[in-house]
Amino acid sequence: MKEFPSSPNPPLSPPKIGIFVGAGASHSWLWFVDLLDQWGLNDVRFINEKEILIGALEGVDSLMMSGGDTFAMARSLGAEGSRRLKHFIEEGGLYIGTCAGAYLPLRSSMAFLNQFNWINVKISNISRRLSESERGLFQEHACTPYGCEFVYHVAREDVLLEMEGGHQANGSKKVIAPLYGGPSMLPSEDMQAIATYRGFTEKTKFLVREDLAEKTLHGNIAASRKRMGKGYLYIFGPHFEHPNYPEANGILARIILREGKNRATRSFRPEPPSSKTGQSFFEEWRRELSHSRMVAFGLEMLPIRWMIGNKWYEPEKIRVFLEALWRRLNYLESGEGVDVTPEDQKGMINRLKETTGLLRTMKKEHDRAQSTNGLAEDLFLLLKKVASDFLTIYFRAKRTETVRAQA
Amino acid sequence: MEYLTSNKVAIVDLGTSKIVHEKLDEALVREKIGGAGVTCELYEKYKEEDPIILGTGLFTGTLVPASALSMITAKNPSTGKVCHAPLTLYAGMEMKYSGFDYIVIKGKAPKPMYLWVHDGIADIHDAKEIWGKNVWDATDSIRDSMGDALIQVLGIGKAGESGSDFGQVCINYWASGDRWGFGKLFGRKKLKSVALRGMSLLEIADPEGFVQACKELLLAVKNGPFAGKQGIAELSAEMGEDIRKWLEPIIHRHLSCFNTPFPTNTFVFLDEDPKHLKESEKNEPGFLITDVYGLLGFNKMGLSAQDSSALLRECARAGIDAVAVAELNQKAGMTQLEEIKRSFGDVKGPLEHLSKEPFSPWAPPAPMFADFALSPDGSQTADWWKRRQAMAYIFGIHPIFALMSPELTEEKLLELATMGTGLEFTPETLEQVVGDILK
Amino acid sequence: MGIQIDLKKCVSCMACEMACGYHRDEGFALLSSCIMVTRGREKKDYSAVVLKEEENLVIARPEGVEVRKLGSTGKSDQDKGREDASAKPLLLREPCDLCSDRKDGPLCLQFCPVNAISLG
Ligand code: SF4
Ligand code: SF4
Repeated sequence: MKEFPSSPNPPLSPPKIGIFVGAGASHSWLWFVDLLDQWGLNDVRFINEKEILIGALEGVDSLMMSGGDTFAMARSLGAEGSRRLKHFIEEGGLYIGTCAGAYLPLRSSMAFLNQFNWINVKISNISRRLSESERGLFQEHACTPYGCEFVYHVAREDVLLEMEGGHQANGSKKVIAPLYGGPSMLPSEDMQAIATYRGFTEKTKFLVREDLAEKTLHGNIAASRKRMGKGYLYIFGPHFEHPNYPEANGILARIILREGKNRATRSFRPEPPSSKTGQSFFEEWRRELSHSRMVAFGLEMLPIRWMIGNKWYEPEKIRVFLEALWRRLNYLESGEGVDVTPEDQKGMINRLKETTGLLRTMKKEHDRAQSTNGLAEDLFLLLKKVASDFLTIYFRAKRTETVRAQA
Repeated sequence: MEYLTSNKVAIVDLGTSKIVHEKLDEALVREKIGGAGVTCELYEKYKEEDPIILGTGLFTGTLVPASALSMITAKNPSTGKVCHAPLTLYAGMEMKYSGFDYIVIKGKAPKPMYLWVHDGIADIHDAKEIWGKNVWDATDSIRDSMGDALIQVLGIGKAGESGSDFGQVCINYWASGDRWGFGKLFGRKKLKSVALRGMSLLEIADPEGFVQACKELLLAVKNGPFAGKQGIAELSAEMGEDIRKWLEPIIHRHLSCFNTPFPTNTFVFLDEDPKHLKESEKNEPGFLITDVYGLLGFNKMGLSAQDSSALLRECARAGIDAVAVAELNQKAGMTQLEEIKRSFGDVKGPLEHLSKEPFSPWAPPAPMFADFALSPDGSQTADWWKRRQAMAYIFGIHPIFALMSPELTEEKLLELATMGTGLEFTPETLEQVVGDILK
Repeated sequence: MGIQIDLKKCVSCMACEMACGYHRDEGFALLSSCIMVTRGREKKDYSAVVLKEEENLVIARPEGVEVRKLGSTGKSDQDKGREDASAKPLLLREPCDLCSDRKDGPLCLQFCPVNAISLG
């Protein structure tokens, strides 16, 4: 894994961006981290549902809601979360949702989801739109139950999109982005389309017959925008934030830059760190991260996976979190230091040690042919916390560097 | 240093438990290239403190064919000469990725310790749990506690702990090419083991050029006269001692050291049917033979292949050099398995063929399979061998494979060095380094 | 067409793994390779070469080759349940692309010193 390549020209007053890392968020929030890092959008914090409930949205201009489990997101946010989110947008906040984060604000009659009925639109990938014979075509793997219907998925990986509303990539309206279960929407008065499904590429993987895939997607809406009060919702079926799609990344980044400053919050102007965070903190961090990484690497060779919530987790996913940190560690180690209180430092190191401990126990239990499901559940929760704590420091250091360079 | 390196040297003081990290000085690499060139220099620098230097070769752990070698450079506790012991299997490679190119271990620990080196961190750990354990159990214990079975452990057993002249630094469970009694040195320092693990990335100055050249080199070597031959018994046959039939019935498989085209190691099954392909139900069904001389030593005593291998296994557990065990027992007239097993604590006395060279005689003293155009009267062989070993220990090439591959010429190695590091290396520099090492 | 591994010939040298690592990272490292030599059973001398393909995990063992659907564990009791069409890629070890952007083709194959890898 190479070092993470950062932006050469970070903006001086970037919007304050919150990334949702709470219940239901899968690892794809880390894609947002990469994107923001690459674009020098360094005023970033990480927010979970509990923090939303106590007002965390007050401190940000925009919120990134990534892929994962929409139901879990809706359930954990509840009515109060919904109210806070709505207020945030109406007061000028920017909501960016991809995949699960895109389903969340769509009209729905399902429990919990019905608290987020902000965009009146129908999706085209729902079973009520299929004939009886077509329903039968769906393998079990291509659908998610949705009340007495099911949401189905026709293709994965690359889809070809046509941008609308002036959005372009390198002067072209055609752009490719990957689809992993995100919605396809029917045109609606309630929103403005910004991207339409136009076709496939040789990298598209069809989950059903190509003609049915085409019927489901072609001409329907892949991404859209809706004004709500003083703010906007932008929702994306495909993952415009996926790190391997720089053109789609660019479109998303420009939207964040343009629309993400309506709340007139002040950019974070970090004071120079009062005392340089001791080298020993980062050394300790490296030591423990290395310990975790090597056990995680070993687990990748074992025939295990875990069902957490309603999603399968593979051992490789552990290292997805750890590598995102590892690739940024040299930067912090060689930098000017950041302000982290001794208590926070201690807490962070302890949680990382706990991560290593959990991983080692999982390895032992697996060797003894014992179940590791419960341990895995704890582990992934912990990993989110460990990763977002570390990345908070990382972005703070980046921001400090930008401000200092431009002063 | 930017390329083919972790750019880090650790200076470990066992006496004070202080560890200092230094950058690998590019000027040092320009002057000494790598491997033994640099370890000798570091040895000189710290020689007052009786140092053990662990070092990687310039190409160790890369796609250069046979780039398996790292080394221990230290003073032979018996002769007082500075010499190099080879670290092969996966240990040489692992060291390269551990985050340090060189590790200087000086001083003496007040109580048993082990050094844990991983991803650019070097830590001294208390070894009270493993001191006194045999090599196998100590390795298992470290791996279990860290939760990682890929950790490479350079460790000593009873022999090294108790100051036997033939205490060997073993690799995980197996014998190494340490013929110098470096195990005794470890023991004297109360250093039970050095555990290595690393997951770093080595950058290359000219990646495509370098890899292309590696590919061409492999293509040139892999169809050499050794092609189709495998394992420890073929080595011995080539040395004029044909034990192929003797060993054959217990052979399970032949294994290569990292990226080495000829598998110089043979796994024999002792408590399991050698033809058994599935994972054995037994935890310790056999032994990996890594040293042809140890095997030949027991063979010459008239032992069966099964008994010889079982003895090799016992030697490795105790961390004692099997070559010495075989030679000295034979001299003492002991040829019975059980007698020999009990003798480990008592083997003493000078060995007949104590090498005067700085490189381990673990690598046979002549070309293997290949023709290096040496004069048939053998007058050039000794000097050729020394020079060939020097190349291997500078660049990190498997020292036995270096004897099989005339295609790995000095010019080629220099060319690769420049492509890999972006630094200009001339034949004059190489000449100088070889001269220094052989001094 | 895919990479085939003959474990009877394999000497566990890891050249293929390093070559694939290079193919992914343009440097030497083992973290991104999609061909991996399992080394965890050292005392038993039991080792396999595992290849991650688009859909499958191909496990070449001394006793034979097993092809397992990606993400499944090979134990049916653990594999119950739906496959997840919305699973996002992990982007650590990309599946084997047969080195399609290299004019000489698969790098692992070219670096296997004992010709245990073929394209079939
Ligand atoms: S063909 Fe290429 S991508 Fe596939 S395993 Fe070999 S080196 Fe890796
Ligand atoms: S390169 Fe060939 S011999 Fe070496 S591990 Fe891979 S398949 Fe086995």
